[in-house]
Amino acid sequence: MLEIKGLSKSYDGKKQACDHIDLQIEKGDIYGFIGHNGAGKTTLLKSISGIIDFDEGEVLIDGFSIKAQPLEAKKIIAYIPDNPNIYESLTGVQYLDFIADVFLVNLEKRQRLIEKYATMFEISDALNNPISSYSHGMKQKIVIMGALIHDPKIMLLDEPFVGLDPKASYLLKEVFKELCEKGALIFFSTHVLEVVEKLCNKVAIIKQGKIVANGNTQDIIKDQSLEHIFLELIKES
Amino acid sequence: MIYFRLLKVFLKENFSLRRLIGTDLRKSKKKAILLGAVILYGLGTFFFTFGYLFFDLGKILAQMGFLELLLMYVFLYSIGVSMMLVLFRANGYLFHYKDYEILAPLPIKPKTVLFAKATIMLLTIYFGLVIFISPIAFAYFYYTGFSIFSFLIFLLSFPFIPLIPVIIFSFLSMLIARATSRFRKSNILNIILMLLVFMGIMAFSMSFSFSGGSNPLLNQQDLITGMKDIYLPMGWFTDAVHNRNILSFFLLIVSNAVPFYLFMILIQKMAVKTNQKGMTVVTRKNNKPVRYQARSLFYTLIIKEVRKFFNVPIYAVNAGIGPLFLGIAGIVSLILKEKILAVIPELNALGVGVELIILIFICFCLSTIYTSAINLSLEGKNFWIIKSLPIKPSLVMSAKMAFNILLGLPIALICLVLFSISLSITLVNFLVLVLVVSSFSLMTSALGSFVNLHFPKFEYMNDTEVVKQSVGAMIGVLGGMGFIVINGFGYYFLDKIISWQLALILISVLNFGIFAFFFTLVESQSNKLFAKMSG
Repeated sequence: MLEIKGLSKSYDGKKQACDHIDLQIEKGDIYGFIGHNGAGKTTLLKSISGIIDFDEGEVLIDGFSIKAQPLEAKKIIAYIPDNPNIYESLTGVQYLDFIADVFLVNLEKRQRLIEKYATMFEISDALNNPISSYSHGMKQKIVIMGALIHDPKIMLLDEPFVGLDPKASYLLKEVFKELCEKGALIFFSTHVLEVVEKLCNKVAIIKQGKIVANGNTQDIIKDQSLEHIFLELIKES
Repeated sequence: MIYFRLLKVFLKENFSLRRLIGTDLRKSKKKAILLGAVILYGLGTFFFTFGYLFFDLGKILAQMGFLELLLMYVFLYSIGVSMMLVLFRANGYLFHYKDYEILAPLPIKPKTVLFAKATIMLLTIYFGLVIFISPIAFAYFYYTGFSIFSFLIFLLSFPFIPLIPVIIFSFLSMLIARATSRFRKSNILNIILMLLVFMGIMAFSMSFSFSGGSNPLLNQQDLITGMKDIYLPMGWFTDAVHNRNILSFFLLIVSNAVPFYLFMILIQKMAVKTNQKGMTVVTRKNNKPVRYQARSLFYTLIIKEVRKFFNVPIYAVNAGIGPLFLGIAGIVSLILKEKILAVIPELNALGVGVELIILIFICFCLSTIYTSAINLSLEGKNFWIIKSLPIKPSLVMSAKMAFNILLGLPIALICLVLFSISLSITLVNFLVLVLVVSSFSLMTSALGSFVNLHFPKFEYMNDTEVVKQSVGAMIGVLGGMGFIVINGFGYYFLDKIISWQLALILISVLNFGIFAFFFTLVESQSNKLFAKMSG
């Protein structure tokens, strides 16, 4: 379970990028996170995953505090950034081996998972090539494979569908569902509201660092579209 | 004008204080003070050694009535420094812009972009040149008596001196990058070629005789005056400044500016093509079976460092020249054994033991290995990976430190063994030297890690900015050399009261102590500092 309690973060000491955010995400949830540009989505995701420090509040990952017990917390999570900047000098398999070594994934398991996902994302032929020769979408696929290689309980993703072709997007959604059935939780930001409507059982909307709506997707949407709700909430001062 | 608007943007991108230093000094007084002290130390060391050498030379040349030799030095050093800078940077500046994707769709003529890029490259070169030639120029104007006319000619001529080397080495830089890119191990090949050119230039400058004479620079006199006859702009520059000859001044400017302008016009299309080619990624099918390898966490972190080292040519060439020298020196000592043995009695007569000379050489080479001072910065935009993974920051830093030790210490010890064989150093003395060399390697590596932890630079466009221009690189190398001086002082005082072997053992203990101090600081501070970093 992922608990975010009163998380606040400011970059300049004046404007709050995240302002007292409270969220609770349960096992099996696919939680969509939407907001306008600069609303604080990436800041929140980076704070949860321990990439940036935050000023106030607490993030608990399966009971482990990301501040006090970062290693225990990070062992459970996988983070995928909005831009797949990875070690371009490594080959795909060298990068995946590196990640697997960090998470102590044994050879048999890493081989099985890499083969499974490489076949799924149609990237098997490129695993021995340097990442510098990959397209944006291929890099994104390698980052996703790196995230999946240790069976994370919590997946944090920042706009994961950007750069993926329709087939890869579909497959990633299927992977999300499969992981959730196994008891994992997915928390991802996106600008594609249709994906949230169709895929996510829960949604949170952030505006200028504050959560303005949060809960079951169906309860929030009711008989309208998410786009309509989102635009209404963003418009309100 | 678009050119000036571009120039303004590029200047901000390349020379803003934050970009140069990698940190906002207003936020940390401690860093500002430390940086100020390091810059002062660096400049002081440079001017009191290099500067003094030329000041002293000026005095001798003034007596000989041959002060224009100093101007020839200005010219030669300008060319030498330009060659080095252009060789490593021209490809990135002129043929593979990092921001091509931003610039290409804009309605700006490629020629304008190219000229703005070339201007920035030249400004970088001039910045380096000013540091190098100012002590020589100072000595010249001090001894000739300051003339405003000569000084004006000097200032106006100076920007034109490096233009022809820029043309030649820009092409060379591009050709090396192009030739090596076709091979599978292109980076390794690139490193080897760069090293060969680099060592060629070094060998050429070392070919000056250094035997005898009160000032080693005096021995280069014949060669330099000879070069003036071969490379005419050198003579025109000397004549223009020394004799205030306007015709020579005019010839110098025309002979450099015209070829440079033609060069710029000629490479316009090529620059567009190479940049366009650089944008396309070709992913080939690779049917080689995938090999999986499981390693321990610490080992895998070190392997990551090794791969990074060999995949960034500028990094490997700059931080790898020390191990290369150590290897070559060790082998050469076996080959030239007789010649070295013949010099030893002379050294002993001067009160300098051969062991000490070996030690200074090895420690100097080790101080040029500064990977730990920059390898955290080189994580750059990939730093999020390390931060999001369950790895203790202290372990990351330890692996980076260990890589620096592994890069230098084994080859230093091999070099020491070879020297000991060729110069018949006793086992006890050999063991004492092993102790000093090991402690020195550990100490400089830990200092590097400490420095990079406090002065990381994650925002950069080109790896060169981290490898050659960052605060970490500067403190890493100067700090290592500073430790040689500290060890030297320690030895100087201890040698008077105890045997030199015991003195060196005590110095090693001090070095191990300094290593332990920095290592403990890195271990204890890395968690806190990693949290603050946002690479």
